[in-house]
Amino acid sequence: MTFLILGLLLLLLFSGMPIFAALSLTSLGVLALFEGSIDGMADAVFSSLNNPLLATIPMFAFMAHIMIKAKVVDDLYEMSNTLVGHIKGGLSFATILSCTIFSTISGSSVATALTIGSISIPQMKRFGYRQRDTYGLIAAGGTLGILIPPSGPMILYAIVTDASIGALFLAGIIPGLLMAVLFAGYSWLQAKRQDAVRSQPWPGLVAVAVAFRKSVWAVVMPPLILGGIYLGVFTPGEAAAVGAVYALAVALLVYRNVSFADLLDCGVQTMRTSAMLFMIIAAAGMFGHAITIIRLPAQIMETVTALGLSQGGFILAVMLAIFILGMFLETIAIILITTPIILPVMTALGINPIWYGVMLMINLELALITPPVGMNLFVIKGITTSSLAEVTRGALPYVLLMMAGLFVTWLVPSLSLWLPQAAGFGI
Amino acid sequence: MSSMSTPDTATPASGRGAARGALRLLTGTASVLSRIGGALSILLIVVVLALTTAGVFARYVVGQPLEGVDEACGFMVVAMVMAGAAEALRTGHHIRIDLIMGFVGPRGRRWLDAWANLAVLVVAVLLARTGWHTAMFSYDFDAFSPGQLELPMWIPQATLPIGAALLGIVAFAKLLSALAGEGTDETRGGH
Repeated sequence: MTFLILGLLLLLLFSGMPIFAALSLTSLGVLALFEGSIDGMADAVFSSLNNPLLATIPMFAFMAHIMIKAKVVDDLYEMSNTLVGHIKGGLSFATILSCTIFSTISGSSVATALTIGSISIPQMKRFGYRQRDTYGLIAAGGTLGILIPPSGPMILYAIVTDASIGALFLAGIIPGLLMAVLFAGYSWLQAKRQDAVRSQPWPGLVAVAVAFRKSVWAVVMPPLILGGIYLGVFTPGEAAAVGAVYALAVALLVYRNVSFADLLDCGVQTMRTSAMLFMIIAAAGMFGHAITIIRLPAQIMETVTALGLSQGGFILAVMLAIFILGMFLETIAIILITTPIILPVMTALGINPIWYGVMLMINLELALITPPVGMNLFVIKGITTSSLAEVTRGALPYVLLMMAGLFVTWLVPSLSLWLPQAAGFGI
Repeated sequence: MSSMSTPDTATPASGRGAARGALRLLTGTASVLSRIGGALSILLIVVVLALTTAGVFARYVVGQPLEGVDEACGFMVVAMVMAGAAEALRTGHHIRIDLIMGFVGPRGRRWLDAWANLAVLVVAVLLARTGWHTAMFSYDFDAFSPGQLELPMWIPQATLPIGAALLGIVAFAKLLSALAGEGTDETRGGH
């Protein structure tokens, strides 16, 4: 019966209906079949949505939309470029540095790839970088958005697992920086091997100082948000609100390039994204209830016990399954479908949910650059009009680098856990 | 993966003027209603933002924490989603897996769109029905929220049937438009 229900879910998902509808219909089928009534539907939806932590997501999204509209990111890229553009292959570092800092502003991989890609791809082409290499770097660099805090998917995972958002944010920093260094290093090596790649002349200290001063409004944002959370000044929700107000102030008072129509557009984009996301959350709430009724987590636990799987074996199996799902499903759906299923088993096997959360995020980064459904690949294809095959070929080395990063994160749990533990989170 | 969209197919030959007029009226009404819902949803996002910021201000500047901010934000998230879900559907922002779309022609896509909107319609109708019962139950039994606001629970719960009804109207309009082979609105991709 369990396979039949999961098969039905996959069938509905791949039949092209919205993810929230597929999850809802499957869950309603289970409720009707096993409980004889679907009266619990509204209660399940209400309980899933009635969560003040969810308000964090639209506020961070609104903040990101404003910062993008105000073109703050242009100054950010200019600062990175001024700093390292004179080194051969330095644009690789500039791009990844911009992606890393912008990730702390946007919290979204797609937004990072789209925004940084629009600025850096023409620049890198101009200085002789091979097209394919550029696409791969941006596609991969953009994925840092979900690993480096604040991250929308991390907030979702924290809500589903009841883990601390603050601890998760901290746990993502070292692996995120590790990935950033891996990406930049590889791209730099690629550039070094290409004769066509040229460096820019050193602009001088004054130009660097000017670029720093112009980008300071973006650079100050991460300490404001993350520092506020970790010093206990703000809750994550309050940090998101303060970040949005800060972005508003920077756009209206410093940059003065955002009109009321632009702000309205930011509101519209935020509303549409939030409604889409939260409808999936509501449906996932029902799905979580449905899988408990069919005892799916218990069945997985029994299978794990029967197979004699260790903690490592279980993580390997789950990561492999998520990697395959990631080729077809969107990150949000993967988090909301798989986490409730495996959380009880994780707890029973003593797997730290923060550590697992970071590995999950890296795996979801992979999902963004693996075909046939890789959102960042689509983004790069969209802004460059290149073929998907070309973009995918460029991204392939980064898939391997991410796998290496995932392996290291699994092998050395303290990469994820040291920082939150040092900050006093009891995890 | 893409968002919901309606195929751009040619308008059928005339001769069914009344039916097409009725469909246009339905689509227009659904569009106006969902836009109102979307505007309300944006307003709620702004209110949540203002309320949360006011909470920080009250705590650090006034020295007097605001009571019930979290509880109010939770209720407003429910209302925000239910108000905006229909507009997200109308503008094609609900994510769907569209791998199969690449293997079918325009006619097949139209049927798949009809199928997707039918699924949303079924979910919306069931949510409206169960949501109505839940809100009425709370109303009949004078249920209040357990937090500091002590709000009658039927008020935030009533957003479920209202939002679901709105979602259902848009899904129904899109379903009929897909069956009639007409594009309904400014469909778009991405999210």
